[in-house]
Amino acid sequence: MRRDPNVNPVSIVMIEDDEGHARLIERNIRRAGVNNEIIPFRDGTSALAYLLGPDGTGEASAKRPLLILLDLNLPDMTGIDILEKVKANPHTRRSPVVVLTTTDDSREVQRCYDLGANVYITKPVNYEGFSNAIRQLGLFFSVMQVPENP
Amino acid sequence: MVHTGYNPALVALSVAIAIFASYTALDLGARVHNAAPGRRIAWIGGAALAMGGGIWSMHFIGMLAFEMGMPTSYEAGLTVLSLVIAIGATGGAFAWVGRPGAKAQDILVSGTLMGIGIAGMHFIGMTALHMPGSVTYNLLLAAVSVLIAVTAATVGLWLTFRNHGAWQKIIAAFVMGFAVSGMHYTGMAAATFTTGETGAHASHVTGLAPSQQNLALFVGAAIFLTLFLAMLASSIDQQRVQRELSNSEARFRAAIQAVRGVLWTNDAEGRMVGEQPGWSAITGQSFEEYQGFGWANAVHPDDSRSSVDAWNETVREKRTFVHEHRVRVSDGTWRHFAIRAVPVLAPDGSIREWVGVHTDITEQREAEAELRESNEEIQRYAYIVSHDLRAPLVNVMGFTSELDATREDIRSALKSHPDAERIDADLGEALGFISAAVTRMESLIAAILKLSREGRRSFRPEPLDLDALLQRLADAQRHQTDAAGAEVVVARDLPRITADRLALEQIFGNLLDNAVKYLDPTRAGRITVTAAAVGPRIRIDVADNGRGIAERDHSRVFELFRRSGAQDRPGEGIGLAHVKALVRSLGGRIDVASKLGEGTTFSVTLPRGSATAVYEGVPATSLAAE
Repeated sequence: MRRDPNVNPVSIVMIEDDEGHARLIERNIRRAGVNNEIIPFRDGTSALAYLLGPDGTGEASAKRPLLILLDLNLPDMTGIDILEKVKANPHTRRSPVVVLTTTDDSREVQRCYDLGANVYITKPVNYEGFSNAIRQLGLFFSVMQVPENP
Repeated sequence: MVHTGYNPALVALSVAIAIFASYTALDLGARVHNAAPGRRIAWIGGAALAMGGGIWSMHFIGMLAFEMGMPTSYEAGLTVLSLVIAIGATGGAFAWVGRPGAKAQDILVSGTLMGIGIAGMHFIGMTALHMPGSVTYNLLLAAVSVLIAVTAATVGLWLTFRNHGAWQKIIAAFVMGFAVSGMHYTGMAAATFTTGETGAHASHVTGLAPSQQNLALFVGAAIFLTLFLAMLASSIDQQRVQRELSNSEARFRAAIQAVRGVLWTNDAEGRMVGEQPGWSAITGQSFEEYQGFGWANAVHPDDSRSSVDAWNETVREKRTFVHEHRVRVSDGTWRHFAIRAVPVLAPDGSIREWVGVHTDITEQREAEAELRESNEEIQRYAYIVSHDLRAPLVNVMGFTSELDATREDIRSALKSHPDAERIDADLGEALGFISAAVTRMESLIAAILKLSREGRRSFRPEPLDLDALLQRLADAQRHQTDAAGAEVVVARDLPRITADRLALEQIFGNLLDNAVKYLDPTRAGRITVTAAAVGPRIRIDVADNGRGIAERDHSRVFELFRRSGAQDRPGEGIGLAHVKALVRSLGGRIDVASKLGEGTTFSVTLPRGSATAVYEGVPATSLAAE
């Protein structure tokens, strides 16, 4: 994995419990030419511990530009819980959150946007669609400005 | 001409008799309506005797009060005849008006006959008067007296057969008494008495013959006795009525205690008055607490607004009150009650009071809630399962594609291998089957998901024009219909319905689509859509003359992924399952009647109003497991 901190020091935090999905997402992001560091988490607890720090204040993420890829269906909590906590914390609320999940229920989509999600993507079973979506997301990442957390 | 005058004491007596007789007649006459059929005749007879006898006595004493200064006597036969006429005319009139089914105009007819009868009595009574000399009549005054008699009789009858209170009865008695007396004295004024020897007996003018006075007293006493006996009979009857009333009150009290549920009474405005043992036992409220509108304090605050609104509407329309609300019972918990209250109307149509029953339906409501909960759970389960099934499918499909991508690498690596072509073909075949299976699985999951969503959809009921809606759906199918050489006939003047437009379009769109799809190619297709109101519901039939469904498949066609008959048409076996789920969510039902080779009729029965269970916005947290 090649890193170029001067051009784009953004880290991608991927919270996805399905190992296969995580691998497919990573492969397609790389195919899109995005080479940022990807930090994978398989459950909500460890992801929150990373994002908000062991003390839970969120200061751990201060001055750290992050982009969060979030699955809603996690074993220990729902992605909504994580979204709420991230958007409520002054140190993490500016990090863009991309919800990437199997759910396409319109109410769920609305709820995520209401809570401050920046993008909501449904994982299509059709692999063509899936890889396309991820690759386009990767292209999107490469041009996206991610603010540094206060 | 004879100089004449009146004895004031006897005049007063005659008027008093008229009033007393009128009162008695009013009192007895009022009992005719409420009397048992066998007793009716007795009360009519009594009233006629009191009224007719009273009027006659009044006249007779009025005649005796007349002083004309010459010896007079009465012919017994004619006098008795005048009494019979008075009683007969009165009795006939009472019987006619008092018969069941008598109308307002009957009073006019009977009043006229009775009035003429009384006038006849008066003048026959005058004829019975024997005196020296002759009597001539002023025709105008005589006519006026007849008119007064008719009017008095009509008013008297009207008052008698109308329910009224004690004071009204007394006033009416005075009015009638004076009217009867007025008739008599007008009749007398119409008469001019002349004697053969003018002035010969002038000395008699000053004094009334003692025999005449005794006769007056005797007649007066007799009629008072008669009236007194009549009043006695009336009061005995009054006691019987009172006893029946108290019996019925006791019965009502016993019913209050016997009814399962709470029986209560309210006044016209909804205030609780008097003892409410049932209400008190359930709510634990004391007499002081539930008095007036205090009972409303036991109603759940969340339900009181809607209860008051429903109540006011019911009072306005004077209909049966049907409602449900929660009530705090004596142990402090809230319980659900179904309420039914009927207004007790006064004769003038106003509400006198309300009698209602509160029935505890808490268990019923709880069972319904449980059922609904388990139903929701099944739907949620289907939803979650279909999503969780999807997640591994993404992997299967994803890595299959990844494998497919590496086929190129394998091919180039095996370039010189003798079995290279076979290996590549095997790989391609395996990957192809996996992809096809995953695609199929994906579509099945999508169908389950759609079905589980239908059960959770929120509906927006609106008044719909069924004619137009169904015709539009038929028109939308026109292309397929024409291609099949068939016709769709939508009946006119279908009943109106309030329902969710989209749901109805989906239901009947599907049914019409099926009807066209499964026509029998050997005969001209004909599809008819009819509808009829069945009580509070509407049944809509979609009938075709297509290939039909075998008996054993009648319930199977509604199952998901199941199809019937020759599998020669495209389809997933989803349509009817979808239709059934929708119809059920709308609070209706769907049935099929079909004969293989003859045709099929699908009958959809829906509530006419918007009784559709609306679960507006299922809380999003229920989906948190995604």
